[in-house]
Amino acid sequence: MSSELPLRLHPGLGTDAEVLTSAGVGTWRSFARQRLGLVALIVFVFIVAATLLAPLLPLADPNAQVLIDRLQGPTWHHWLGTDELGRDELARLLAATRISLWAALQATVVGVALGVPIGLTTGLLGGRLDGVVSRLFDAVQSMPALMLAIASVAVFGRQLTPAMVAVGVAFSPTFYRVSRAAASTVSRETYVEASRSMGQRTTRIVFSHIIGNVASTLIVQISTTFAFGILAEAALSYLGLGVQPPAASLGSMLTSAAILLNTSPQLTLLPGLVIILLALCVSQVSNALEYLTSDEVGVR
Amino acid sequence: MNRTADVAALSIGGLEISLVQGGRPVPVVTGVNLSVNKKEVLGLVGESGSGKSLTSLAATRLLDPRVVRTTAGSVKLFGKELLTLPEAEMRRVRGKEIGIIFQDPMTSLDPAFTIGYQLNCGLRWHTDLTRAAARNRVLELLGLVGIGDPRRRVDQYPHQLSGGTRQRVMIAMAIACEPKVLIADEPTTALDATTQAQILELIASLATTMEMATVITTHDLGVVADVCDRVAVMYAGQIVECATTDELFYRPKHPYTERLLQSLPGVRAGRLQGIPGQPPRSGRFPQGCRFAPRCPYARPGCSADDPELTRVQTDHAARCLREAELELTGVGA
Amino acid sequence: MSGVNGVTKHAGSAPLLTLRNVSRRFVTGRDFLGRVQQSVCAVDNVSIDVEPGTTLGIVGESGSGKSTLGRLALRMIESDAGEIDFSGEDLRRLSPKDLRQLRPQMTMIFQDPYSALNPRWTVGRSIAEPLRINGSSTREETHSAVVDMLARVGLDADAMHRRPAAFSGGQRQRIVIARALITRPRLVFCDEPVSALDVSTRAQVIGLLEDLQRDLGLTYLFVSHDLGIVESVSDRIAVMYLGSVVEIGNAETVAREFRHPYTASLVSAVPAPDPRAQRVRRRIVLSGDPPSPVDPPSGCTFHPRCPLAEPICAREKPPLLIDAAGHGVACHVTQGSTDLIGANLLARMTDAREPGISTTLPVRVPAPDSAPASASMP
Repeated sequence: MSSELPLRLHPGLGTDAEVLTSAGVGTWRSFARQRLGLVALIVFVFIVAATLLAPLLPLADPNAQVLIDRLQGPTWHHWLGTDELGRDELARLLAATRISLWAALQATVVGVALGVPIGLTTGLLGGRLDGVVSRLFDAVQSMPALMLAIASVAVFGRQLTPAMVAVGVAFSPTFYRVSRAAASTVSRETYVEASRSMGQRTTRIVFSHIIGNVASTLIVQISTTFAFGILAEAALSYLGLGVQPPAASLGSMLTSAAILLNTSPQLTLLPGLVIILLALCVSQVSNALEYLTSDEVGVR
Repeated sequence: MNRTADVAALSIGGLEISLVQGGRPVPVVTGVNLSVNKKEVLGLVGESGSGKSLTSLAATRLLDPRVVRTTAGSVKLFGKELLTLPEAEMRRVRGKEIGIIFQDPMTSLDPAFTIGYQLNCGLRWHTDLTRAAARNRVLELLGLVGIGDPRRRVDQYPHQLSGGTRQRVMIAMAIACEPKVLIADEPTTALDATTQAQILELIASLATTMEMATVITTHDLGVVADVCDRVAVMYAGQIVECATTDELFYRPKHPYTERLLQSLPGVRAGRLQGIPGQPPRSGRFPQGCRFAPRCPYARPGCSADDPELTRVQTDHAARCLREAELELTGVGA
Repeated sequence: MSGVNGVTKHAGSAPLLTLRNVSRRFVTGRDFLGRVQQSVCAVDNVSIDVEPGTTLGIVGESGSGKSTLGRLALRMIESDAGEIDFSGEDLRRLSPKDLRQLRPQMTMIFQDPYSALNPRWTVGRSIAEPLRINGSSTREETHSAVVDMLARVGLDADAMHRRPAAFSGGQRQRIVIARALITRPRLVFCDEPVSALDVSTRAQVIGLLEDLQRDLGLTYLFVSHDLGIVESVSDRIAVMYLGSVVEIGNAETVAREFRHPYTASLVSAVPAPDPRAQRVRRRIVLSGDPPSPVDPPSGCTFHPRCPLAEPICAREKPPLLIDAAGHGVACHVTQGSTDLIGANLLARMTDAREPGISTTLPVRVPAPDSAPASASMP
């Protein structure tokens, strides 16, 4: 893992001739990528803040039905218009986004909490335990996330939280594998042996040396999972298995708007756009973070 | 320069190699002139970052043009210019006319194929041998590089072989098509001391029997003492001294060569003498003589004037302003 | 002879580190029920002493068990049998807690300065790591200790704010040395500390290690495959082959008056930086690779490669017999003889090898007709 830039030979001939100092290649592109990440971060923080502050804003109650004002276009009172029951679309959108983000967060936290500690442990210790645990996670991996979520609905009824926990469990093998691989690679580095030779405890080695090296991979994985969590919630609620009326999530808003696609397409487009925007923001932020953490080491 | 009378097997003239940094080429090797004749072994010696590997690999055109570029000079194989050759023709030259041995035999062999298969590939690409003939040739080659029991070894995978044997396989691959020029880039750096001696002697004896012109790059002057006919010492992208091996070891004319010799265990009694300081980073060379900041004999003038590589004797050239006045110590003094 | 497979008592201070009959096997293969199918004896019944303030060099090819021996001595890995005594402490019986307390007194320097430093950490953080693990020093103490160590290894104080990527191999090795010495250890295990470095840098780093040994009164366990380097730094040398010590003695004695054929072949492999001497010198080119430690040869493990081997060598493993001067050899052939020493032994070995030319390579004669070209001259 030499971090100096080796001379690259023609592909297929893998040897470095002489190690030279790093060259600043593609500076403009990297800058642009970071700027994009910054914009994405601002947008994401703005959306999150808006959903959290929604109850304090001078907005209509997202569940208050005013049947006279059904299916209105944008007006002064309803900036984004109203839905088929005359509820304020903007208020509903903010409330729904909050539920979707919360659901995605649940799934991600469960995935990380289950996969990362076990992965770091088995990666560091190896041996037979590693083999058994890895096969277990392989078994979990073989079950699709949505199937697990639907199964949880069968057991716990139509509730979002158990369903998202199930999605999180289905995501955990990826976290397990990423952290296991990183821990087992880093544990073979000489600096870990050095740390051990100084009398460092294994748990501390995990925190001081391994977490830092896993961080950039984990950040990418967390953001991918978060984006996928948003989509999974949308899919569940679209199927009517997630959040229950009158509460709305982005997915359930899509479902109820789908039948009105011909007459009021904006009701489908708006939650769809929010889903896409959130997923894009998260992936851009993770790209930038990954870049920044690799910059720290001097490898670009 | 009269190179036309006796055409050298490999001749490099005015070579400049640059590293592409931020789209701008920064010269890291400048003004390198070298030539190697048939049956001759040339040692190219220098610290890491001195440009020795770049120089030897430039002749094979294996450097990635996005990172390193040959910005000036010529590389001629028996008078034929290689730098302007189309890539398709260059592929015919590589392996067939120029054999290459890399530093790390662990990563230079593909772990997924038997060594016999890997040897076969190169042979059948460059020659029109039949399958059976190629197999016989592979067995013959393995015997030639001193691998015992070739019939068993030919079907083994790289991970079943020791470091020394893998390097022998690399050598067998390099000489498979009887190249006229052999380039060995730090061939023994990754090996044990005992294996090192065997591999160097093997390369040197093959150079003689197969009448190849050989270039061996290394950071260790000690390992080239008995295998090279001539040695060129590189420092900071330049050749600072070039002489026959005996001349260079017994009568060094450049302070850097003297210091390198003093760095070797067993050259002088008492503690080892290193070279104080660090070599300059590639491309950021000091003004005047590039070795002056680390040179124990440096005078103020050394940092002002750029020394030329001047001939001090037949077969001996050095790049030092104070060459005539200095009394440098060689080995065995 | 004052001991079989033991070590003579030397006059003077008690050894800082004593190993007695230390062995370690590694399991390399198990069947599907987890039963051991194959194991390798990495270190076989080794006894050594290291006097305080001296350097014991351990030399051998890769796979000889020299690095494993060093790790056993520091209890970085557990030994299967034997006794390890570090300044009066029975290292093998120490509790994990007591062992941790002892760690700052015995530290390591590694072969590869690139992977020995965490690329994400600043140099200062890496050097201070042992102190932080100890947890006994304040921030200010740690900072001044790091500044002091950087100066001792010849780096600027502002190096502590940079990351390893900014440094060359030699400079990184200096950082590794600074980290190993910041706790003021008594014993330092140098595991091939210069093998990955350029020759010119090698000499610098070895000079630095020698200076620090003198200034701080350090004891070194110095492992290398290069006898030339080991000879230049060591007071005593142990030669290892396939897990066993085959020769041990004062550096001068082992390098000049060696009595084991394997040591002789190591000596002949050291490149002499003198072209003329090198050309007339006949090297003992050992035939083949070192044998597999999974299935070591019977008797003396060196006998299949030894030009002087006699029938007894294949039957019985020779004991390491140590004379009054502390020079020990494990060889049936040379032990009884008075003249098979040093240059004589080398000559006998080359003569014994010469008739069977199959294993030696053709002697290279410099071709007089290949006149050096003049193209490199301007």
